[in-house]
Amino acid sequence: MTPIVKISDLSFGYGEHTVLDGLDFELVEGEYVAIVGENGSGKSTLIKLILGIKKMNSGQIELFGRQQKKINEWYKIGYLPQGSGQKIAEMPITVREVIENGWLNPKGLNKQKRLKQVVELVDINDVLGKLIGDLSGGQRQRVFIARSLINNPKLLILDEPTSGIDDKSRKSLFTFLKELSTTTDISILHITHDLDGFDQIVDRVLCINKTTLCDERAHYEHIHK
Amino acid sequence: MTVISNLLEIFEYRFFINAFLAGTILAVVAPLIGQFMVVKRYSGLSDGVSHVALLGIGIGLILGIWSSFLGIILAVAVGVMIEWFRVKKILKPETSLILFIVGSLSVLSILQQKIGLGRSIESLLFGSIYVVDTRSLWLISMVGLVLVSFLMLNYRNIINTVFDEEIAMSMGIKVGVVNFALVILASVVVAISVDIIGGLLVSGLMVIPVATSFQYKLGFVKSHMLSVFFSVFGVWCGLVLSWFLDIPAGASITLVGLGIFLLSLLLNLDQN
Repeated sequence: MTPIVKISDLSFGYGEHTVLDGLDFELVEGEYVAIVGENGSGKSTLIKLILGIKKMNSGQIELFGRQQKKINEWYKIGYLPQGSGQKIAEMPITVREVIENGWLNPKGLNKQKRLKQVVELVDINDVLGKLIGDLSGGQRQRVFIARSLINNPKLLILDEPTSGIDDKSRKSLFTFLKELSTTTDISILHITHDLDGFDQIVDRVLCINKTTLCDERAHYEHIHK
Repeated sequence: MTVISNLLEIFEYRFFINAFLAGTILAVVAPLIGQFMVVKRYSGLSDGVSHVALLGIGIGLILGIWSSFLGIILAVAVGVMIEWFRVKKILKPETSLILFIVGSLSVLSILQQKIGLGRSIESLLFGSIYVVDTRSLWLISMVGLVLVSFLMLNYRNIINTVFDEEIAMSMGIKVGVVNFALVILASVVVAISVDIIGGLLVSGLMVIPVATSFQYKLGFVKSHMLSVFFSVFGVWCGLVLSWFLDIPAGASITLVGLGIFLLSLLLNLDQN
């Protein structure tokens, strides 16, 4: 089976400061992988390299079996950035507009039908006409999850999805991701500095340790004892 | 009847018809591009670019060549430089804007004193309804057409870029290209607005209607439409007032716009 994400010998750094060094990684269809690491360990950098937001120094990234630079099926990727919604909280944009602006016209999907589906999925029907800035942090995050799912992606990338939200919203996110990962074949890459219970639902836990990935749940459990 | 006949009378003058048509097109395009610049927190660009456009117009007047065109060339060149400085992290936009503003005004004042521009500094700074010739009207129409077409074709890409560049990049949007295109279009709109609105007041046309529509908290697309409505209304009232009260067009348009803004602010105080 072709991996959804395949990273080979990936290196990245700023000047003489190495952030990632010779990193190898694969994510297959339907897999839910968490990558943990301390702040500044390079977790978010890894995501930005996968998405082409940053340019790698060397190595190779393949998405859906094609070189990342050559892909144009961006609708296959859903991305929930860290602190999603913070930047646009003061802007005059409605929840419906935020979600619809993520639409990339994927084949075989109807925009309005899909909007209805994702809105119901994250339970934000009653706030669709409201301005994004009038919502709580948890609601805002659900809006951005809906946006990341609008194109029915094959790969969902979550960057610190529990940061800045209250306990109730975190539990709701936990239930939602558990449901999503068990009922669909979506692949999920979840970046976090603290798994905070999510290790119960992920298939693998990797940790970024001194610029490389170590593939062991045990290591994570050990450093958090 | 006297008021209506007086109003109709001003449309017998060719220069007023030119100013009215040009003003209407500018009133549509300025807030269209202005809303993106405001959201991007980049509305100060119009202030800097307008002063450089003034210098271009001044040099054009001295050399006896098409001043509006020279204003556009200089404005776009500086707009691109400011964006390039930002991208390359050489200078922050607010710093480079100041450099270009003071530099342009200094050269302009020396040119006026030593050579003479053949037009008052006041009309350049505060606008005039007497200076829009047929050639300028064509230029403004063409710019309006290009800008509206660009925005219609790229609306989603632009919205995503101005709201969050990282999300836009994760959607495969060429953020750098969108940013440069926005800066170039905004620079052109500013440069062609200088004649009527004036170099000191032109940024108001891009910002005031947008700030006004934001008071109604309607969402992005509806705010865009409402800002165009306020802008057109403000320009029409401002041009008529400029004629009857014999005051600079830019000043009257700006004050009408500010009046609508204050009214909207008061009407929506409970929402805010």
